[in-house]
Amino acid sequence: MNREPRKQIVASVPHNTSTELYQVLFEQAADGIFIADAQGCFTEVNRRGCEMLGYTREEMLALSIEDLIPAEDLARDPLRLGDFRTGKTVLKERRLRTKYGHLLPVEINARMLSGGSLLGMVRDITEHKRVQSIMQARLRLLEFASSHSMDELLTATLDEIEALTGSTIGFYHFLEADQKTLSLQNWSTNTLKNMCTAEGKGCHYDVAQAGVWVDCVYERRPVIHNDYASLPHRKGLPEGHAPVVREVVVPIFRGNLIKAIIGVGNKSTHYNESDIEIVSQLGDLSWDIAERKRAEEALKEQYSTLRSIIDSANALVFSVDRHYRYTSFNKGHAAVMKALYGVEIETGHSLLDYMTVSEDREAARRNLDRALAGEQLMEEAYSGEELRLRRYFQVSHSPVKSEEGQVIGVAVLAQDMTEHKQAEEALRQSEQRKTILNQIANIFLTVPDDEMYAEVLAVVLQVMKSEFGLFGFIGANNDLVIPSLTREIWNECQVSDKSIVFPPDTWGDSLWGRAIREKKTFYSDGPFHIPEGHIHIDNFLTAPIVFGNETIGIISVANNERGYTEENKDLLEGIASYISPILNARLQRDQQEQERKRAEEALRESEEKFRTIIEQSTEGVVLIDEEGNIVEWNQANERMTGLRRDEVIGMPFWNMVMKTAAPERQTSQRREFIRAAVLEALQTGQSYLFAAPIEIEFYPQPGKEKRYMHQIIFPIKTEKGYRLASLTHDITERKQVERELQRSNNLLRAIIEAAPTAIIGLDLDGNVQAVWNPAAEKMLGWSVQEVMGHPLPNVPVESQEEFRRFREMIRSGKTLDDVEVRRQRHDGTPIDYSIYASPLRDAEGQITGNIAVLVDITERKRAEEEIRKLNQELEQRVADRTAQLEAVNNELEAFAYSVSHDLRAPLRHINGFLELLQKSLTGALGERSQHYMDTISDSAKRMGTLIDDLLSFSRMGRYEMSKMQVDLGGLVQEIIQELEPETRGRTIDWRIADLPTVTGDRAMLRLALVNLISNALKFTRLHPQAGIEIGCLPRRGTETVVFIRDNGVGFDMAYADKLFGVFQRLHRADEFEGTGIGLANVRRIIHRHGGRTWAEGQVNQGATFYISLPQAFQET
Amino acid sequence: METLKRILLVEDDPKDVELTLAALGEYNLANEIVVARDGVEAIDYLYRRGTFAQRPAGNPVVILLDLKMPKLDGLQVLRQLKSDEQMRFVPVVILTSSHESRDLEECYKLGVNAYVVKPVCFTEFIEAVKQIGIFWALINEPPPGSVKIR
Repeated sequence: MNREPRKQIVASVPHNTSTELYQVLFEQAADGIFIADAQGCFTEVNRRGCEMLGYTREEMLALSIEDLIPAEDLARDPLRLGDFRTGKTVLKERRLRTKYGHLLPVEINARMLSGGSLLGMVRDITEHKRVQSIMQARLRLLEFASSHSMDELLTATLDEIEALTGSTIGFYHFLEADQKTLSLQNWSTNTLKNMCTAEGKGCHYDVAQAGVWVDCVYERRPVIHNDYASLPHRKGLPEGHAPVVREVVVPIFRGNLIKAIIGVGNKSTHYNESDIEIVSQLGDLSWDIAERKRAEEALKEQYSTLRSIIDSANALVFSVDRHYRYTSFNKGHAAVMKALYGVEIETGHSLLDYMTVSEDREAARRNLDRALAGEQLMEEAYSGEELRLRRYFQVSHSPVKSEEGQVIGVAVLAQDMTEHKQAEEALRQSEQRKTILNQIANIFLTVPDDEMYAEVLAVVLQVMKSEFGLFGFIGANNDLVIPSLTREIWNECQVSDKSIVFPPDTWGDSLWGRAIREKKTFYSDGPFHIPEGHIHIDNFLTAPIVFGNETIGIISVANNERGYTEENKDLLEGIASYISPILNARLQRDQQEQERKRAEEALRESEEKFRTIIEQSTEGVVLIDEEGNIVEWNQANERMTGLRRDEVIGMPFWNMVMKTAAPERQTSQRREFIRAAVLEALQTGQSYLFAAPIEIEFYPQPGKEKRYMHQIIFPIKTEKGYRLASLTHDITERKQVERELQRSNNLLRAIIEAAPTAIIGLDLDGNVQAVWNPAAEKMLGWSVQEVMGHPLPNVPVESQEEFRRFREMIRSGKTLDDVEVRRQRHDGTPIDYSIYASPLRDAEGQITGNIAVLVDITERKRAEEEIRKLNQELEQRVADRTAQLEAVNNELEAFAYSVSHDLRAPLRHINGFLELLQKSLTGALGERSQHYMDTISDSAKRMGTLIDDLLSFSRMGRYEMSKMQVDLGGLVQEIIQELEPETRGRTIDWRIADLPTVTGDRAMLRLALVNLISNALKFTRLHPQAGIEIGCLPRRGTETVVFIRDNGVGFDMAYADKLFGVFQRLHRADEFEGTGIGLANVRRIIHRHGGRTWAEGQVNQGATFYISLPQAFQET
Repeated sequence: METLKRILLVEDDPKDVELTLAALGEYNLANEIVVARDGVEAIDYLYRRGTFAQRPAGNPVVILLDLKMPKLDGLQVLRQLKSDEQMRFVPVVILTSSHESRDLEECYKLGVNAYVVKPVCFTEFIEAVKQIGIFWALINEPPPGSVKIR
């Protein structure tokens, strides 16, 4: 701001006409004109521009554009001078801050001049903005009025005015037609909230009592009090009234009358004409709206008075339009509609839509249509959904006509006649009831079986207009039995486990279950929890049948199309109580009948059982009556004796006995004896016959072998005296088994006695029992008398523990099998024997002891001991021999070692000095001398080779072998490749078969094969067409045999056994070189693998060398 | 004994000594050789003891060692040298008639630097000894503390 004022452009402009014109235009322009440099600092401004913002020209020139724009606007819409382009106009609305801080709305038309400076034409649009704001406020108020009350509208009007004028309080008064009485209609929201808590809304008071603002009434024009405090005639404000600083008050005229006064106050600056305009405009509008609202509200009030009159009438009154829509109704009608259909009716909605019972609805439609057609009519009607609440009405319908005479609706007046109707109905029903009960009683008397239930139910269903129902009784176990479910209803029901018997635990909380338990009638119109497949239930009425204190049955009905009424309920209860004594008697009778049947059945069953037992018994059963005749004879007897039932029934017992007696005993004397005995038993009930089972011989008819039976005879006391019962069973087989047993026992004993090995029996405590055979006596020295029942005497003290352990094993069911022990004989000498012992069990399988066979092994033991000693000696000898061999071996090794060192040295010396000698004698040696020296040298070299071969052969024997899988095929290929230099220039026909993989030491086997293949090459050297075949013989046993065959010089089989010897050669050194160690090595290697070597050949016919390798070799 | 020699030949057999010297003589290496007749003498020489107490300090650049010798044999000498911090860097070449594998294994286990079997053929022998002499005395860079070339 402290910048130097710029040099005035105006002053520097040359004085010519256009300049003058420009200057005048510039100065006189209606818009403010501002020129600023590129940084936005003003360089020129016209008069209007200065006026608009309240600055002097000098002050302006010290400012920049940014200084004029409020910071908040800049933040929202930054000033971008760089955006201006030369020659392009930018039009923009902004607010500029005047010198006094007032924000001035302006429209700026800016562009960049060619020099880079900015030209701005600024137009004050305050007025434009104000009008716009007022328009918008009016629109808002109009919109607001449509959905709000007058009170709210007035408040909103004041709020709008406050906002537009920048005021903080506002009031709205109505002035009565007398132009003297005021009523405060409203404060603005802000006034009420922040400032004014004074009472007075709606109060009427005289204009004379009002404050200075009422000047506008006296003066009949708007007034402005910008300096309220200084007004001489102001009155004190009421308590809680907002303090007033300044105000503007505007009267609203209609014609000549002031209708209302609107005032706002406490604007931060002085009020002026434009504020008056805002208040007038919005006030006028609000008054218009308010007036209309007031008229509406008055009408509403009038209407509601009428309503209350109609509503208070007893009758039901309503009217509908041509579309059955309610145009009005009274409270009585609304209440009935709610009671009948559970609806809250509203005008504008169709009456018919509310009526959920179709019959009611159709009846109403018919009547309304008639009235709409112009008919005046009077009808009677039932209405209502819930049956017990159904009401009966007398209804009159009157068409409602428009002024033109058109029927535009129907007015309906209805009178509730229900009570009257009910009285009539009750009479009718009591007559009906009598008839029904008679019908039911008849059914009870005439229908003897369970059909009765269904028939009674049919009557009840008919009377109750029900689709289905059930009638049942409480039977055994308190089950509900419903015999009436057996007709159509049974077929209709699709429940998977349908039944006519319902145990109490299946009742659940069903209504009929509750009726039975609580002895009360229940009604419901749903919803019902019914199982799948069950007949659908709309409504259900169930009544228990109670006799005395007990529910003895139940009768239920369901699916009355209209639901059940109280009358239905009464009727069903009446039927139930009527049925009660008859049903009880019926149930009693049924029960007695059933018990009788059960008792008969039980008796019959027990007889049958008894007969079955006798018939099925394996014992022969004979019953003898008081006279001694046979009255019962079962199948077992038939089988046993061969006498059929029909033969013996009625026969005297003694005759029957005679029939089965041994031929020699079939004497009359004998029969008499038996007869007497039997008759005595029958008369006295006492007899020796009764004593115990008697064993009897008998001969089954006709003429079979003798058999044996056990017979028990006992008396049965009867009214006439005694009967006898005889139980017999055949013991022939058992006797045979016993005999057999006896024989085998004897046999066993004989064997034991004769056995050469000792056999003894011991009990669990180790005492001798049952067996101690002669062999045992002989072996151990104790006689049977000495040991029987005594502890086994031959166990020495040191073996007691072992003996106890054996007893434990026996006790747990184990056997001893060839267990060798040392015991004593009677004479104290030791004895070795082997025990074979098994547990001995009694008939129940309990172990009672054991039987042991003792085999004397003293002799064998002695022999074993001898063998053991011999073995020991042998082992010692072997060890000694091995040690000797090892010593020899060590010596040999030492020998070989020293040969390696010491034997080679002289050779080297011979060679070395020969060489030196030759050098020193160069040229001085004669041919012969030279030959001698060469011979010496060759010999020494050969000696060296021999020594080396010998050493390698010796190493072969000492070499430590390692076992592995060796692929002979691969190995042979490898060797042939390695020998390739030796075969160069030769034609060799190699024939190599598939070779197996063997177990062995690879390095050694390699050496063996190298030797053999080298040999083959060597000995075919003279052959122009060498052929070498390597193959494998067919497997024999566990041996693998590989051969190497050549077509070389061969050999004479006479020397075949020499071939593999050390230094053995079949050819002269000048024929084929070699030391004769190769094949010796081969043999040694193969031998060490546990195999064999051999060769076949013929002179000049080639040779074949064989090596065999065992499958799994043992190193030798 | 007073002059310092670069090669110590330990060999009990005078014939072998002679042949070896003959072989090395061709390369003027004979003068570089001092001969010990057995293991004891070799140890005395190396540790400057007994008759060698007065010899100038310094280790030979290589020791040619025979195995089979009276008194202390080659293996014993080798074991002693290779277990001594002072001596274990002195290269030792075994020069022997033996191919016995146990000798070979034992020597290498003890850390011998080379193992040469004396060939029976003299020409080959001479060749071998020459190679050894040239390599160890002329080509190989001896460890610190060895006799310098004059």
